[in-house]
Amino acid sequence: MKAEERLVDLAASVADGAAVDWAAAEAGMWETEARGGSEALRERRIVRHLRLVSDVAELYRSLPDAGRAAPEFEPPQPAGPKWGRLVLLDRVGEGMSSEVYRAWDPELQREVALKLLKVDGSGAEAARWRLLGEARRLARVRHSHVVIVFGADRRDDRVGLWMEFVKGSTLDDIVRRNGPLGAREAAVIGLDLCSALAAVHAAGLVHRDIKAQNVMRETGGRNVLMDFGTGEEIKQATGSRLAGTPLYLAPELFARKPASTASDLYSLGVLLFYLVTGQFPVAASTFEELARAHKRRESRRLRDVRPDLPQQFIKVVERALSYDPALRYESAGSMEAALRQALDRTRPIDVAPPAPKPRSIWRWVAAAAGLAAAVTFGAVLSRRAPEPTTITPAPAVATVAPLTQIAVLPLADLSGGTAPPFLADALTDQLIGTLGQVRALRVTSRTSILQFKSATMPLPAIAKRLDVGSVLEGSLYVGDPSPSGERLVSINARLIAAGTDTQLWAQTFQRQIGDLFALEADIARAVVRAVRVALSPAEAARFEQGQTTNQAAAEAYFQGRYHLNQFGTGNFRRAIVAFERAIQLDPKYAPPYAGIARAQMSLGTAGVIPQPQARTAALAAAVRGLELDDALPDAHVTMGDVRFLYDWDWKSAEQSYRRAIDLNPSLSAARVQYALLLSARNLLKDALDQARRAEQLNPLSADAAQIVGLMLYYARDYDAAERQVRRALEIDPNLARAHLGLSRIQEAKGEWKQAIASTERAISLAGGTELVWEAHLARLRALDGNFDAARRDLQRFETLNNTGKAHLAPEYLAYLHAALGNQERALDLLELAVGQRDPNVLWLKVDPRLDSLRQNPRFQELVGRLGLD
Amino acid sequence: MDESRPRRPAAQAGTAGRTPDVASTLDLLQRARRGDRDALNDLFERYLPPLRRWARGRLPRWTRDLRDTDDLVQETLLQTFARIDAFEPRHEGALQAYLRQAVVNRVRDEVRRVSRRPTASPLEDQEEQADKGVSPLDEAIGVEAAERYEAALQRLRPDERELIVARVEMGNGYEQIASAHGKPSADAARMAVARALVRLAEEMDLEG
Repeated sequence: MKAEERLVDLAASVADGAAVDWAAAEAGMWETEARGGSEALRERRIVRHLRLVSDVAELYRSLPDAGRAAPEFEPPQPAGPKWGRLVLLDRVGEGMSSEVYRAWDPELQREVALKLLKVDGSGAEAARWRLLGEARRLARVRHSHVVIVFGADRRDDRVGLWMEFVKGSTLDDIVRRNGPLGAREAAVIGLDLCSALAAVHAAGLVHRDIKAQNVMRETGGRNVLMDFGTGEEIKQATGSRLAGTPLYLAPELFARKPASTASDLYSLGVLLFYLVTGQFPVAASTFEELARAHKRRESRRLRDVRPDLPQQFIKVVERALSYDPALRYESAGSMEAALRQALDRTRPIDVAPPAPKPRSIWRWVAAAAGLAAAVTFGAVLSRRAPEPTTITPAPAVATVAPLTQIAVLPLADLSGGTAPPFLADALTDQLIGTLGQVRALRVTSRTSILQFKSATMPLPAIAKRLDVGSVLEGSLYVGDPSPSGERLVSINARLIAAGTDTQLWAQTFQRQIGDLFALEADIARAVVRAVRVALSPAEAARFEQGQTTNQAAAEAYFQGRYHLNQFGTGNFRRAIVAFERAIQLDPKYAPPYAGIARAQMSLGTAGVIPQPQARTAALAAAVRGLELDDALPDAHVTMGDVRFLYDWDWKSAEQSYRRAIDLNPSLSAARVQYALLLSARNLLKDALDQARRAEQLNPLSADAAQIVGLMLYYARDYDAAERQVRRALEIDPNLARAHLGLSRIQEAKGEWKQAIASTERAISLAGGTELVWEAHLARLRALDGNFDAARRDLQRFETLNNTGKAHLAPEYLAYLHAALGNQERALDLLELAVGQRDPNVLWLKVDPRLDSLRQNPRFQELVGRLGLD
Repeated sequence: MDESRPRRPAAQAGTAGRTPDVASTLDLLQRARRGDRDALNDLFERYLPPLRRWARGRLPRWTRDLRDTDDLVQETLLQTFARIDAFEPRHEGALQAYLRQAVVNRVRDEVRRVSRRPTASPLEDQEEQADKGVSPLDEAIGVEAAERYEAALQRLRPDERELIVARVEMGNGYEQIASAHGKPSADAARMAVARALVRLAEEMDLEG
């Protein structure tokens, strides 16, 4: 074999990654070639180079395989003074007898917190024992809210304990820096600490040093119970030594009683008091003063310092601060349960001190007698099998809506024009729709939140107006396109608990502009987590489903939604164009079909296109949309409308509305339509219920308020109906429809003059008259006794109809004839209207205007033809 | 030479599974640019693992401290895929080279960006800084040898260079290399890589 061939062969082995005997290869080159020395030498060098390349290949093969596994790069190796193997990075704290460092463990490659004793020389041995004791105690407790200890030792004549390095601030720092917290935030911290304390107590320990300086709030929100320097075994907890920060100490400790789980709970009560006030329940500047104050039972009550806090929370804190240990919570676990209930303010909560039960007295005696094992057992027992809590009636305080009643405020667009103009609105809309699909939530409808766009009103006030317990607000920023055309969308969002005006959660979400739906789902999921609602698998799946991955299609859809929301026939048409573009870009994308269906339907009701045409177009789009995605609430609503208003197919319509409500219980439009259907069938109680729910979902919508009024009107509860319509007019004094509704109520009450005034007002607000309204006015004149004027109007309408100059639907003429006493003529016209399936006569069964005809057999037959039963 | 048979079946180490071809890549690129998420995922599946592997060997340690290499590679890929409208790869190898260059450029940008900032920690002395400039490749064969390898690689013809990088650094299988570099078979690709390696060794020898 020639040298050249042998080299290629060797190189192939290198390329294969096969094992090569390099010594033999070099030797082989050398021996078999009988050529000149320089040539042979060169070839030998080539072999060596190939060996080097083989090393390169070997290196690449040895690199962690690029896959899901995180790469294991060596982190930087910091330099600095050392203690044992630990490298001291910086000093992060100092106490009386120790210093705490952030340190680097080069072997395990992680940051640790190192607590080094200052004591040296003769005291070192005792100090070492103390520190070892702390380490052992910590090591006995394994809990996510208790700091994890790694080890303790004496090195270089210094005693140290190293543990998990928690990045964050102490609660004390947070209160000093930001001022007192709200009740909810404090309660959430309290929950974490209760569960940590329960673990401490379950390990047979008392902590003895619960205080704000000893709890770290880790970046990301985890609360960690830190220092265990004075923690003691329960069985060793004698009254001989006072430890801990005096202001947090339970009163019995001043009386030389032993520390106990109950004294830890007292300290936790002080901590919670401090978190919400920045003060302490017992104020004193010296130890003696403090002891005296306790002896005289002088302490401030939380309800006096912060009367604004929820009663439930106050009561939990005050019970923990009971002077008598037996009156405090029986265990950290039961205090945790009470705090949890305080958080969930919809339920009555266990705040009453327990009636002195034999067991608790025995426990106290046992503890006093130093029967530690029994105490520990008791604590564990009560944690495992909590006593059924005493249910006391909820205190009569002003009710605050639960957190699950939530309003999504319009996202503020901070892009300064770089974002498409509809984006912020569309995302707000989308979020409302997504959250609305969560059964456990009640999400305020879009109409009601619109007026808070860039409002400066305080959030609690907004929440009160909307009757919600939590408010999501946020801002949108769209970055400039990168050179590659990618754009980042950032949304800063925060969720506020309205009752306490505290922030439940705040976060910045960021995605490429092509990922808007994922971005929106991220936010929705975070909201759901924050208000502690569990998603059903179906609900969780809906967050991800039914959207498009085509960015252009999504934008076109958003634009369509934007136009659709603007109302007005021009906007309906623009919406249809945008939706059609979205479908063109992604034919499998279902929501634009629902949009087209809605817009066509609106064009039909506005009379812009003939009703049969509207019906066909709306139906086709809704059907197609539902074929692609059966879970589109909007499409089901339009489907219901077509079945109800055009087809008079009550059963199908009812199914559609129910399905829409089932898919999105917060969809007020579906409930309004369903209420209208129920009222047509004279199921007025159910109709009113649906209308009221729609109003709750949309409390600042004059229309929603008016629909409730309409239901009350059909129910012949005219006073309530009038109050309701006047409410609608408070929301929007210029809503012509509501003035017209008011006139019908006044008419029913026999207040003709007022009814005429209301109608005239409606006409003037509408900036002109419509034949329908004129017919209504003529009717009122007839009822008011002005028959001549009414007859003249009637004649005018009939002439207009006959000459084709204008058209007044037969039912309006019928109403007028009925008012003029022409029963048979009125019935003729109504029969005509029913024959034409005019949607306006759907309410024959309940319409007070036709009460004069109700006894007529022809009328009853007519009602039968509607097939409403 | 050409008729000589390999002594053992060509090892098919490295990326397994499909062999991408130019047409399908172009198709994927176009679909990805239109917003097709699946296409983008396919592209990532195809190109991310080998590029990550390559980047891990090549980037000096201190650049890897700047940001996780994988993130950097992934981000670069995302941007590159989005903007290579004008790019009409003649073959897969060209696209791979293009992507590698994009990563290299990106790293350079990152280095420039960071060097404008004050050092992260005053504790770090010059020695440590220098230490961190060493890449795993430098560590494996020594800085001098790594430089020689790199320089020789750059002097090769582009097709030779691509074959070596694809096989040695990115661990591509011969089937894949054949399809990406227009070789009739895996065996042919293997021999082409081997010959390119000999050329590389010869170039390295010129350095002395």
